Amino acid sequence: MTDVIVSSTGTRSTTKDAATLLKQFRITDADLDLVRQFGDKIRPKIDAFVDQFYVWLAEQPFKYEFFMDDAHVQEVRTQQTKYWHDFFDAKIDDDFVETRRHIGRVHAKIELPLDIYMAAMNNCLENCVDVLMADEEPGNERQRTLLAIAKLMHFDEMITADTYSQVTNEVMLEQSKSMIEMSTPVTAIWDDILMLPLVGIIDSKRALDITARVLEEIGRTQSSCFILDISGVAIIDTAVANYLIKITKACRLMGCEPLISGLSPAIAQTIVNLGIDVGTIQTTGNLREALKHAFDHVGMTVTEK
Amino acid sequence: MPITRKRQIIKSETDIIVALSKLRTMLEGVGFGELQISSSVTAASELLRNIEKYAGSGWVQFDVMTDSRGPYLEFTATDHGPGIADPEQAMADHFSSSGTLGLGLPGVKRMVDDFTLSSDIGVGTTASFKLWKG
Ligand SMILES: Nc1ncnc2c1ncn2[C@@H]1O[C@H](COP(=O)(O)OP(=O)(O)OP(=O)(O)O)[C@@H](O)[C@H]1O
Ligand SMILES: [Mg+2]
Repeated sequence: MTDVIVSSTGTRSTTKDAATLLKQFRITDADLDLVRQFGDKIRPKIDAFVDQFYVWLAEQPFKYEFFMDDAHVQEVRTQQTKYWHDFFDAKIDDDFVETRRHIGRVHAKIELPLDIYMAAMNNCLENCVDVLMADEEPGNERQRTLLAIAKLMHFDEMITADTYSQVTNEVMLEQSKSMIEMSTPVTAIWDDILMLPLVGIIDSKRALDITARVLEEIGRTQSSCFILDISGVAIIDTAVANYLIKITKACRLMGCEPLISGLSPAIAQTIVNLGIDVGTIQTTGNLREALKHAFDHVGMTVTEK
Repeated sequence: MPITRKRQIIKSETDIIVALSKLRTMLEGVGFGELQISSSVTAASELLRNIEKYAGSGWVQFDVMTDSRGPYLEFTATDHGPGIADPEQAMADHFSSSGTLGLGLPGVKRMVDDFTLSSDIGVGTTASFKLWKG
Protein backbone atom coordinates (compact mmCIF):
# COMPACT_ATOMS: atom_id res chain seq x y z
CA MET A 1 0.00 0.00 0.00
CA THR A 2 1.15 3.49 -0.73
CA ASP A 3 2.82 5.26 2.11
CA VAL A 4 1.98 8.88 2.57
CA ILE A 5 4.80 10.70 0.92
CA VAL A 6 5.14 14.19 -0.40
CA SER A 7 4.28 13.70 -4.03
CA SER A 8 6.46 15.02 -6.78
CA THR A 9 3.65 17.05 -8.35
CA GLY A 10 5.69 20.21 -8.42
CA THR A 11 8.98 19.04 -9.88
CA ARG A 12 8.55 19.81 -13.51
CA SER A 13 10.20 22.39 -15.72
CA THR A 14 12.03 24.14 -12.92
CA THR A 15 14.45 21.26 -12.67
CA LYS A 16 15.49 21.72 -16.28
CA ASP A 17 18.88 23.26 -16.93
CA ALA A 18 19.52 26.65 -18.51
CA ALA A 19 20.24 25.29 -22.00
CA THR A 20 16.97 23.33 -22.16
CA LEU A 21 14.97 26.28 -20.90
CA LEU A 22 16.54 28.67 -23.42
CA LYS A 23 15.63 26.27 -26.18
CA GLN A 24 12.08 25.98 -24.90
CA PHE A 25 11.70 29.76 -25.05
CA ARG A 26 13.45 29.93 -28.42
CA ILE A 27 16.02 32.34 -27.08
CA THR A 28 19.03 32.38 -29.41
CA ASP A 29 22.56 33.66 -28.93
CA ALA A 30 21.59 36.53 -31.24
CA ASP A 31 18.77 37.43 -28.83
CA LEU A 32 21.15 37.44 -25.89
CA ASP A 33 23.57 39.63 -27.85
CA LEU A 34 20.80 42.14 -28.48
CA VAL A 35 19.86 42.21 -24.80
CA ARG A 36 23.51 42.73 -23.86
CA GLN A 37 23.96 45.56 -26.38
CA PHE A 38 20.81 47.22 -25.15
CA GLY A 39 22.10 46.74 -21.60
CA ASP A 40 24.75 49.40 -22.23
CA LYS A 41 21.99 51.92 -22.80
CA ILE A 42 19.65 50.96 -19.94
CA ARG A 43 22.23 50.21 -17.26
CA PRO A 44 22.74 53.88 -16.24
CA LYS A 45 18.98 54.13 -15.72
CA ILE A 46 18.49 51.04 -13.54
CA ASP A 47 18.91 52.82 -10.21
CA ALA A 48 16.38 55.46 -11.19
CA PHE A 49 13.67 53.07 -12.34
CA VAL A 50 14.12 50.80 -9.35
CA ASP A 51 13.65 53.87 -7.12
CA GLN A 52 10.59 54.79 -9.11
CA PHE A 53 9.21 51.29 -8.45
CA TYR A 54 9.50 51.64 -4.68
CA VAL A 55 7.83 55.04 -4.80
CA TRP A 56 4.95 53.41 -6.66
CA LEU A 57 4.88 50.47 -4.22
CA ALA A 58 4.72 52.78 -1.21
CA GLU A 59 1.64 54.38 -2.72
CA GLN A 60 -0.22 51.07 -2.94
CA PRO A 61 -2.99 50.91 -0.35
CA PHE A 62 -2.96 47.15 0.13
CA LYS A 63 -1.27 44.70 2.40
CA TYR A 64 2.37 45.26 1.58
CA GLU A 65 3.15 47.21 4.74
CA PHE A 66 5.40 44.54 6.16
CA PHE A 67 7.44 44.99 3.08
CA MET A 68 7.87 48.58 3.99
CA ASP A 69 10.10 48.78 7.01
CA ASP A 70 13.24 50.61 5.99
CA ALA A 71 15.81 47.90 6.49
CA HIS A 72 13.74 45.46 4.46
CA VAL A 73 13.14 47.89 1.63
CA GLN A 74 16.83 48.65 1.42
CA GLU A 75 17.60 44.97 1.09
CA VAL A 76 15.04 44.15 -1.59
CA ARG A 77 15.95 47.30 -3.47
CA THR A 78 19.58 46.20 -3.63
CA GLN A 79 18.43 42.78 -4.77
CA GLN A 80 16.24 44.19 -7.48
CA THR A 81 19.05 46.37 -8.79
CA LYS A 82 21.25 43.29 -8.98
CA TYR A 83 18.42 41.42 -10.68
CA TRP A 84 18.37 43.89 -13.57
CA HIS A 85 22.13 44.05 -13.89
CA ASP A 86 22.18 40.25 -14.17
CA PHE A 87 19.33 40.41 -16.62
CA PHE A 88 21.09 42.79 -19.01
CA ASP A 89 24.40 40.95 -18.66
CA ALA A 90 22.39 38.15 -20.27
CA LYS A 91 24.75 35.38 -19.22
CA ILE A 92 22.17 32.64 -18.92
CA ASP A 93 23.64 29.63 -17.15
CA ASP A 94 22.45 27.33 -14.38
CA ASP A 95 23.54 29.85 -11.74
CA PHE A 96 21.37 32.48 -13.36
CA VAL A 97 18.38 30.11 -13.37
CA GLU A 98 19.02 29.42 -9.69
CA THR A 99 18.76 33.14 -8.84
CA ARG A 100 15.29 33.18 -10.44
CA ARG A 101 14.23 30.07 -8.55
CA HIS A 102 15.41 31.71 -5.38
CA ILE A 103 13.07 34.63 -5.99
CA GLY A 104 10.13 32.27 -6.48
CA ARG A 105 10.99 30.44 -3.26
CA VAL A 106 11.32 33.63 -1.23
CA HIS A 107 8.00 34.98 -2.46
CA ALA A 108 6.27 31.70 -1.65
CA LYS A 109 7.86 31.42 1.81
CA ILE A 110 6.57 34.83 2.91
CA GLU A 111 3.31 34.25 1.03
CA LEU A 112 3.80 37.36 -1.03
CA PRO A 113 1.59 37.25 -4.11
CA LEU A 114 3.45 37.41 -7.40
CA ASP A 115 1.71 40.70 -8.26
CA ILE A 116 4.61 42.73 -6.94
CA TYR A 117 7.15 40.74 -8.87
CA MET A 118 5.13 41.11 -12.05
CA ALA A 119 4.73 44.83 -11.43
CA ALA A 120 8.51 45.15 -11.18
CA MET A 121 8.88 43.28 -14.48
CA ASN A 122 6.37 45.63 -16.10
CA ASN A 123 8.13 48.65 -14.70
CA CYS A 124 11.36 47.58 -16.33
CA LEU A 125 9.65 46.77 -19.63
CA GLU A 126 8.10 50.23 -19.74
CA ASN A 127 11.48 51.80 -19.15
CA CYS A 128 13.04 49.66 -21.87
CA VAL A 129 10.39 50.78 -24.34
CA ASP A 130 10.99 54.44 -23.43
CA VAL A 131 14.70 54.05 -24.08
CA LEU A 132 14.08 52.19 -27.34
CA MET A 133 11.67 54.83 -28.63
CA ALA A 134 14.24 57.54 -28.07
CA ASP A 135 16.85 55.45 -29.86
CA GLU A 136 18.48 56.25 -33.20
CA GLU A 137 18.50 52.63 -34.43
CA PRO A 138 16.32 51.66 -37.41
CA GLY A 139 12.79 50.49 -36.50
CA ASN A 140 13.13 46.78 -37.21
CA GLU A 141 16.38 46.61 -35.25
CA ARG A 142 14.57 48.09 -32.24
CA GLN A 143 11.73 45.63 -32.62
CA ARG A 144 14.14 42.72 -32.61
CA THR A 145 15.67 44.08 -29.43
CA LEU A 146 12.27 44.46 -27.81
CA LEU A 147 11.35 40.90 -28.76
CA ALA A 148 14.58 39.59 -27.29
CA ILE A 149 13.95 41.45 -24.02
CA ALA A 150 10.35 40.20 -23.87
CA LYS A 151 11.44 36.60 -24.42
CA LEU A 152 14.01 36.78 -21.69
CA MET A 153 11.46 38.35 -19.34
CA HIS A 154 9.01 35.53 -19.99
CA PHE A 155 11.83 33.10 -19.34
CA ASP A 156 12.45 34.72 -15.93
CA GLU A 157 8.77 34.89 -15.07
CA MET A 158 8.14 31.28 -15.91
CA ILE A 159 10.96 30.00 -13.70
CA THR A 160 9.92 32.23 -10.83
CA ALA A 161 6.21 31.43 -11.05
CA ASP A 162 6.84 27.71 -11.45
CA THR A 163 9.07 27.61 -8.39
CA TYR A 164 6.51 29.66 -6.50
CA SER A 165 3.70 27.19 -7.19
CA GLN A 166 5.97 24.26 -6.44
CA VAL A 167 6.77 25.58 -2.97
CA THR A 168 3.11 26.45 -2.36
CA ASN A 169 2.07 22.91 -3.28
CA GLU A 170 4.65 21.43 -0.97
CA VAL A 171 3.36 23.54 1.91
CA MET A 172 -0.17 22.32 1.23
CA LEU A 173 0.91 18.69 1.13
CA GLU A 174 2.78 19.12 4.41
CA GLN A 175 -0.39 20.47 5.98
CA SER A 176 -2.52 17.60 4.80
CA LYS A 177 0.14 15.19 5.97
CA SER A 178 -0.10 16.52 9.48
CA MET A 179 -3.86 16.15 9.27
CA ILE A 180 -3.47 12.49 8.43
CA GLU A 181 -1.04 11.85 11.21
CA MET A 182 -3.28 13.07 13.97
CA SER A 183 -2.97 10.85 16.97
CA THR A 184 -5.34 8.07 17.92
CA PRO A 185 -5.85 8.16 21.67
CA VAL A 186 -7.62 5.01 22.84
CA THR A 187 -8.79 5.64 26.39
CA ALA A 188 -10.61 3.67 29.05
CA ILE A 189 -13.51 5.96 29.89
CA TRP A 190 -14.95 3.54 32.45
CA ASP A 191 -14.10 0.13 33.82
CA ASP A 192 -14.57 -2.20 30.88
CA ILE A 193 -15.36 0.57 28.38
CA LEU A 194 -12.83 1.83 25.84
CA MET A 195 -13.33 4.77 23.56
CA LEU A 196 -11.59 6.20 20.50
CA PRO A 197 -12.73 9.47 18.97
CA LEU A 198 -11.52 9.41 15.36
CA VAL A 199 -10.71 12.74 13.81
CA GLY A 200 -9.47 13.67 10.36
CA ILE A 201 -8.71 11.46 7.44
CA ILE A 202 -8.39 7.70 7.52
CA ASP A 203 -5.92 6.30 5.04
CA SER A 204 -4.53 2.83 4.73
CA LYS A 205 -1.55 3.51 6.98
CA ARG A 206 -3.62 5.09 9.70
CA ALA A 207 -6.24 2.34 9.56
CA LEU A 208 -3.56 -0.26 10.33
CA ASP A 209 -2.27 1.93 13.12
CA ILE A 210 -5.72 2.31 14.65
CA THR A 211 -6.46 -1.40 14.48
CA ALA A 212 -3.19 -2.22 16.20
CA ARG A 213 -3.73 0.30 19.01
CA VAL A 214 -7.30 -0.73 19.63
CA LEU A 215 -6.45 -4.42 19.84
CA GLU A 216 -3.51 -3.70 22.11
CA GLU A 217 -5.66 -1.69 24.50
CA ILE A 218 -8.40 -4.32 24.53
CA GLY A 219 -5.77 -6.93 25.36
CA ARG A 220 -4.26 -4.79 28.10
CA THR A 221 -7.48 -3.64 29.78
CA GLN A 222 -9.65 -6.68 29.02
CA SER A 223 -12.49 -4.25 28.29
CA SER A 224 -15.75 -5.71 27.11
CA CYS A 225 -17.04 -2.73 25.17
CA PHE A 226 -15.42 -0.40 22.65
CA ILE A 227 -16.92 2.85 21.35
CA LEU A 228 -15.57 4.19 18.09
CA ASP A 229 -16.80 7.72 17.56
CA ILE A 230 -16.55 8.79 13.93
CA SER A 231 -18.26 12.18 14.08
CA GLY A 232 -14.94 13.84 13.28
CA VAL A 233 -14.09 11.69 10.27
CA ALA A 234 -14.11 13.68 7.05
CA ILE A 235 -15.06 10.96 4.57
CA ILE A 236 -16.54 7.50 4.86
CA ASP A 237 -16.08 5.76 1.54
CA THR A 238 -15.95 2.03 0.81
CA ALA A 239 -12.29 1.81 1.80
CA VAL A 240 -12.84 3.54 5.15
CA ALA A 241 -16.00 1.50 5.75
CA ASN A 242 -14.01 -1.62 5.03
CA TYR A 243 -11.40 -0.61 7.62
CA LEU A 244 -14.10 0.11 10.18
CA ILE A 245 -15.72 -3.24 9.56
CA LYS A 246 -12.37 -4.98 9.96
CA ILE A 247 -11.63 -3.15 13.19
CA THR A 248 -14.99 -4.10 14.65
CA LYS A 249 -14.60 -7.73 13.56
CA ALA A 250 -11.20 -7.98 15.18
CA CYS A 251 -12.69 -6.43 18.27
CA ARG A 252 -15.38 -9.10 18.47
CA LEU A 253 -12.81 -11.80 18.06
CA MET A 254 -11.23 -10.53 21.26
CA GLY A 255 -14.56 -10.71 23.05
CA CYS A 256 -15.16 -7.00 23.07
CA GLU A 257 -18.40 -5.49 21.79
CA PRO A 258 -17.91 -2.68 19.24
CA LEU A 259 -20.18 0.34 18.99
CA ILE A 260 -19.87 2.98 16.30
CA SER A 261 -21.20 6.38 17.23
CA GLY A 262 -21.45 9.77 15.62
CA LEU A 263 -23.03 8.90 12.28
CA SER A 264 -24.48 12.13 10.92
CA PRO A 265 -27.65 11.76 8.83
CA ALA A 266 -25.69 12.63 5.67
CA ILE A 267 -23.02 10.04 6.37
CA ALA A 268 -25.62 7.40 7.25
CA GLN A 269 -27.39 8.08 3.96
CA THR A 270 -24.12 7.90 2.07
CA ILE A 271 -23.26 4.53 3.61
CA VAL A 272 -26.68 3.20 2.61
CA ASN A 273 -26.25 4.52 -0.94
CA LEU A 274 -22.88 2.90 -1.24
CA GLY A 275 -24.60 -0.36 -0.38
CA ILE A 276 -22.43 -1.17 2.60
CA ASP A 277 -23.85 -3.75 4.95
CA VAL A 278 -22.85 -2.82 8.47
CA GLY A 279 -24.28 -6.16 9.55
CA THR A 280 -24.75 -6.57 13.24
CA ILE A 281 -22.56 -3.67 14.28
CA GLN A 282 -24.40 -1.43 16.66
CA THR A 283 -24.41 2.16 15.40
CA THR A 284 -25.74 5.32 17.02
CA GLY A 285 -26.18 8.91 15.97
CA ASN A 286 -24.44 10.42 18.96
CA LEU A 287 -22.07 9.57 21.73
CA ARG A 288 -24.75 9.79 24.41
CA GLU A 289 -26.69 6.90 22.86
CA ALA A 290 -23.50 4.91 22.51
CA LEU A 291 -22.69 5.42 26.18
CA LYS A 292 -26.15 4.20 27.18
CA HIS A 293 -25.62 1.04 25.14
CA ALA A 294 -22.18 0.59 26.62
CA PHE A 295 -23.34 0.87 30.23
CA ASP A 296 -26.14 -1.50 29.44
CA HIS A 297 -23.70 -3.94 27.94
CA VAL A 298 -21.40 -3.95 30.95
CA GLY A 299 -24.42 -4.25 33.23
CA MET A 300 -24.52 -0.79 34.75
CA THR A 301 -27.22 1.80 35.11
CA VAL A 302 -26.73 5.48 35.45
CA THR A 303 -29.18 7.12 37.82
CA GLU A 304 -29.71 10.67 38.97
CA LYS A 305 -28.69 11.52 42.49
CA MET B 1 -16.96 35.01 -14.82
CA PRO B 2 -14.16 33.90 -12.51
CA ILE B 3 -12.44 30.64 -13.33
CA THR B 4 -13.22 28.15 -10.58
CA ARG B 5 -12.24 24.93 -12.31
CA LYS B 6 -9.75 22.79 -10.42
CA ARG B 7 -7.41 20.35 -12.05
CA GLN B 8 -4.96 18.16 -10.22
CA ILE B 9 -2.59 15.30 -10.78
CA ILE B 10 -3.28 12.22 -8.68
CA LYS B 11 -0.20 10.22 -7.79
CA SER B 12 -0.57 9.38 -4.12
CA GLU B 13 -3.02 9.15 -1.27
CA THR B 14 -1.93 12.64 -0.24
CA ASP B 15 -2.91 14.05 -3.63
CA ILE B 16 -6.33 12.48 -3.19
CA ILE B 17 -6.79 14.11 0.20
CA VAL B 18 -5.77 17.50 -1.17
CA ALA B 19 -8.17 17.16 -4.11
CA LEU B 20 -11.06 16.09 -1.88
CA SER B 21 -10.58 18.97 0.49
CA LYS B 22 -10.54 21.41 -2.44
CA LEU B 23 -13.75 19.82 -3.68
CA ARG B 24 -15.43 20.13 -0.29
CA THR B 25 -14.40 23.78 -0.02
CA MET B 26 -15.75 24.49 -3.51
CA LEU B 27 -19.13 22.89 -2.75
CA GLU B 28 -19.46 24.60 0.63
CA GLY B 29 -18.71 27.87 -1.14
CA VAL B 30 -21.71 27.53 -3.42
CA GLY B 31 -24.01 26.34 -0.67
CA PHE B 32 -24.41 22.62 -1.39
CA GLY B 33 -26.21 20.78 1.43
CA GLU B 34 -24.55 18.24 3.74
CA LEU B 35 -25.94 15.23 1.87
CA GLN B 36 -24.87 16.52 -1.56
CA ILE B 37 -21.43 17.32 -0.21
CA SER B 38 -21.12 13.94 1.45
CA SER B 39 -22.28 12.18 -1.73
CA SER B 40 -20.00 14.21 -4.01
CA VAL B 41 -16.91 13.87 -1.88
CA THR B 42 -17.48 10.18 -1.28
CA ALA B 43 -18.08 9.51 -4.98
CA ALA B 44 -14.94 11.48 -5.82
CA SER B 45 -13.01 9.54 -3.22
CA GLU B 46 -14.09 6.22 -4.76
CA LEU B 47 -13.01 7.23 -8.26
CA LEU B 48 -9.69 8.70 -7.16
CA ARG B 49 -8.86 5.75 -4.94
CA ASN B 50 -9.50 3.48 -7.89
CA ILE B 51 -7.05 5.52 -9.96
CA GLU B 52 -4.39 5.24 -7.29
CA LYS B 53 -5.06 1.55 -6.71
CA TYR B 54 -5.46 0.25 -10.27
CA ALA B 55 -3.76 2.79 -12.53
CA GLY B 56 -1.08 4.26 -10.26
CA SER B 57 -1.67 7.80 -11.42
CA GLY B 58 -4.09 10.01 -13.30
CA TRP B 59 -5.72 13.36 -12.97
CA VAL B 60 -8.92 14.95 -11.85
CA GLN B 61 -10.90 17.98 -12.90
CA PHE B 62 -13.98 19.51 -11.33
CA ASP B 63 -16.07 22.62 -11.44
CA VAL B 64 -19.46 23.96 -10.46
CA MET B 65 -21.61 24.92 -13.46
CA THR B 66 -25.16 26.15 -13.83
CA ASP B 67 -27.96 25.13 -16.19
CA SER B 68 -31.74 25.37 -16.16
CA ARG B 69 -31.86 22.97 -13.20
CA GLY B 70 -29.53 25.23 -11.23
CA PRO B 71 -25.95 24.78 -10.01
CA TYR B 72 -24.29 21.39 -10.37
CA LEU B 73 -20.94 19.78 -9.83
CA GLU B 74 -19.20 18.38 -12.89
CA PHE B 75 -16.48 15.90 -12.01
CA THR B 76 -14.09 13.92 -14.21
CA ALA B 77 -11.34 11.50 -13.24
CA THR B 78 -9.01 10.11 -15.89
CA ASP B 79 -6.12 7.68 -15.95
CA HIS B 80 -3.91 5.95 -18.48
CA GLY B 81 -3.85 2.70 -16.58
CA PRO B 82 -4.70 -0.84 -17.73
CA GLY B 83 -8.39 -0.09 -18.37
CA ILE B 84 -11.33 -2.25 -17.31
CA ALA B 85 -11.86 -5.48 -19.22
CA ASP B 86 -15.54 -5.82 -18.46
CA PRO B 87 -17.11 -2.50 -17.39
CA GLU B 88 -20.51 -4.11 -16.81
CA GLN B 89 -19.01 -6.56 -14.36
CA ALA B 90 -17.04 -3.75 -12.68
CA MET B 91 -20.30 -1.88 -12.17
CA ALA B 92 -21.94 -4.83 -10.43
CA ASP B 93 -22.28 -4.86 -6.66
CA HIS B 94 -19.54 -6.80 -4.87
CA PHE B 95 -17.31 -7.32 -7.89
CA SER B 96 -13.71 -6.61 -6.98
CA SER B 97 -10.45 -7.73 -8.51
CA SER B 98 -8.62 -6.82 -5.32
CA GLY B 99 -10.63 -8.54 -2.62
CA THR B 100 -12.23 -5.39 -1.19
CA LEU B 101 -15.95 -4.67 -0.94
CA GLY B 102 -16.47 -4.06 -4.67
CA LEU B 103 -19.01 -1.35 -3.94
CA GLY B 104 -17.10 1.68 -5.19
CA LEU B 105 -18.35 2.04 -8.76
CA PRO B 106 -21.92 0.81 -8.19
CA GLY B 107 -22.06 3.00 -5.07
CA VAL B 108 -21.03 6.06 -7.08
CA LYS B 109 -23.72 5.33 -9.63
CA ARG B 110 -26.35 5.25 -6.88
CA MET B 111 -25.17 8.50 -5.31
CA VAL B 112 -24.80 10.85 -8.24
CA ASP B 113 -27.04 12.17 -11.02
CA ASP B 114 -25.20 11.34 -14.21
CA PHE B 115 -22.51 8.72 -14.10
CA THR B 116 -20.51 7.64 -17.13
CA LEU B 117 -17.64 5.19 -17.25
CA SER B 118 -15.59 4.67 -20.37
CA SER B 119 -12.58 2.46 -20.50
CA ASP B 120 -10.27 1.00 -23.12
CA ILE B 121 -7.93 -1.87 -22.43
CA GLY B 122 -4.36 -0.62 -22.41
CA VAL B 123 -5.47 2.97 -22.92
CA GLY B 124 -7.10 3.99 -19.68
CA THR B 125 -10.29 4.85 -17.89
CA THR B 126 -12.40 7.98 -17.60
CA ALA B 127 -15.20 8.27 -15.10
CA SER B 128 -17.34 11.34 -14.77
CA PHE B 129 -20.48 12.43 -13.00
CA LYS B 130 -22.70 15.39 -12.33
CA LEU B 131 -24.59 16.17 -9.17
CA TRP B 132 -27.14 18.94 -8.92
CA LYS B 133 -27.40 21.10 -5.85
CA GLY B 134 -31.11 20.19 -6.03
N1 LIG C 1 -9.43 3.22 -12.84
C1 LIG C 1 -9.48 1.87 -12.96
N2 LIG C 1 -8.57 1.24 -13.75
C2 LIG C 1 -8.61 -0.12 -13.89
N3 LIG C 1 -9.52 -0.91 -13.27
C3 LIG C 1 -10.45 -0.33 -12.48
C4 LIG C 1 -10.48 1.09 -12.28
N4 LIG C 1 -11.52 1.36 -11.47
C5 LIG C 1 -12.10 0.20 -11.16
N5 LIG C 1 -11.47 -0.83 -11.77
C6 LIG C 1 -11.87 -2.25 -11.73
O1 LIG C 1 -13.25 -2.32 -11.39
C7 LIG C 1 -13.44 -3.11 -10.21
C8 LIG C 1 -14.58 -2.56 -9.41
O2 LIG C 1 -14.25 -1.30 -8.84
P1 LIG C 1 -14.97 -0.82 -7.50
O3 LIG C 1 -14.44 0.52 -7.14
O4 LIG C 1 -16.43 -0.95 -7.69
O5 LIG C 1 -14.53 -1.91 -6.43
P2 LIG C 1 -13.12 -2.12 -5.71
O6 LIG C 1 -12.23 -0.96 -5.98
O7 LIG C 1 -12.60 -3.43 -6.12
O8 LIG C 1 -13.52 -2.17 -4.19
P3 LIG C 1 -13.99 -0.96 -3.26
O9 LIG C 1 -14.05 0.27 -4.11
O10 LIG C 1 -15.34 -1.35 -2.74
O11 LIG C 1 -12.99 -0.85 -2.18
C9 LIG C 1 -12.11 -3.07 -9.50
O12 LIG C 1 -11.94 -4.19 -8.67
C10 LIG C 1 -11.12 -3.05 -10.66
O13 LIG C 1 -10.89 -4.32 -11.17
MG1 LIG D 1 -12.90 1.02 -5.61
